[in-house]
Amino acid sequence: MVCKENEVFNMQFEILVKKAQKGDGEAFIQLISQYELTLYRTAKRLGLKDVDIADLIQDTVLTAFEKINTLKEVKYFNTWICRILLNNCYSFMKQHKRIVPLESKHVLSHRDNLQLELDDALNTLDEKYRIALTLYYVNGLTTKEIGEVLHEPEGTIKSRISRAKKELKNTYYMEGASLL
Amino acid sequence: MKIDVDNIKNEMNKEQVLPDSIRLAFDQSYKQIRQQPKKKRKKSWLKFVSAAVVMIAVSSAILLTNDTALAKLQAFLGLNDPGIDTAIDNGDVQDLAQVQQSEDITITLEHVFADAHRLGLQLNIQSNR
Repeated sequence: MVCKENEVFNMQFEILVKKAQKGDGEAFIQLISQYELTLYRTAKRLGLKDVDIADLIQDTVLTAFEKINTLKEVKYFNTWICRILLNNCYSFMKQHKRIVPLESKHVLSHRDNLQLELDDALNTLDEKYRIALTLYYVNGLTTKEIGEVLHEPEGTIKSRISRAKKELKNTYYMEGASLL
Repeated sequence: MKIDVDNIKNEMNKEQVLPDSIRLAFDQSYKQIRQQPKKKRKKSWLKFVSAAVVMIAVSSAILLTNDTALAKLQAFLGLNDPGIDTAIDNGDVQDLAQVQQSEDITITLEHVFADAHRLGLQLNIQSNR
C-alpha cells in the first residue's frame, strides 16, 4: 500500500518536473512548494540570517526555473536544487566573509554549563563539516549524493559527518549520549 | 538547553513554519515566474516546424533534381502525366531563382508551376562542405 502511494507520488513528481521543463510555471511552483522548508532550513543551518536567506532563496528559485532544462534525470531534482542553493550561499558567504574567532571552540568547550542552541553549536564547526551534516540531516541526501554535490569522494563525506558528530558530542552534548 | 545527539536530526529540522520574510521571498519568486511568458514551449515548437520544413525541402530537392528519382516517383505514384510536359511546353513554368542560405547550405527554388490539379517545385540544394 505504502509502495503504491510512493509510486503514485514519484509519478506525479516526474510529471511536474517534465511540465516545468516545458516552461510550465505552475508545475514548477508546485515542485518548489514541496521544498520550501528544506531550502530555508539548509540556508539557516549554514548560519545565515533570515534577511539574507530571503534574497538567496529568491535567486535560487528563479535560477532553478531558468535552468530546469539542464536537469537530466528527474530523480536528481532534490540534489540539483540543493546544489543551486549551496552555490548561491557560497557566493554570498565569500562576499560577506563572516569572522569567526579561531579560539571560539576551545573557549566554549570549557563552559560546561553553558546553555547552547544547536545553531550556535553548528556555527563553531568547520564549514565543511557543517555543510556535510546539513545536507545529510536536513536535505536527506545520501553520502553518495553529498559527494556529487560537493565534488568529493563518498568516503570523505562519511568521514566528515562522523567527525562532525564526534565534535558536537565532545564539545556540547551530555556525557553518555549515543550517536545516531 | 543542551542538545541530545539522538535528536540532532529533529533539531536541525526544527523550523516548521516559514518566517514572514521567507514566505514573502517565495511568493515574490512565484509571482515573477507567473509573469514570464512561456518562451521555452514556443521555441521548441518553432524548432520542430523548422526541422520539418528543412526535411521536406531536402527530400523534395533530392527527388526533383534527380531525373532517375523523379521518374521512379512518377512511376510509383502513377504521375506519368503528359500534362507536366505540356505545362513546360506552354511556358507555364515560372523561373523564380529564389535563394535562401543558412550557414553553408544554399537552397534555390528554381522553377514552379501550378494548374488545377498540381503544384510543382524544382529545388536545388548546394552545400559548400
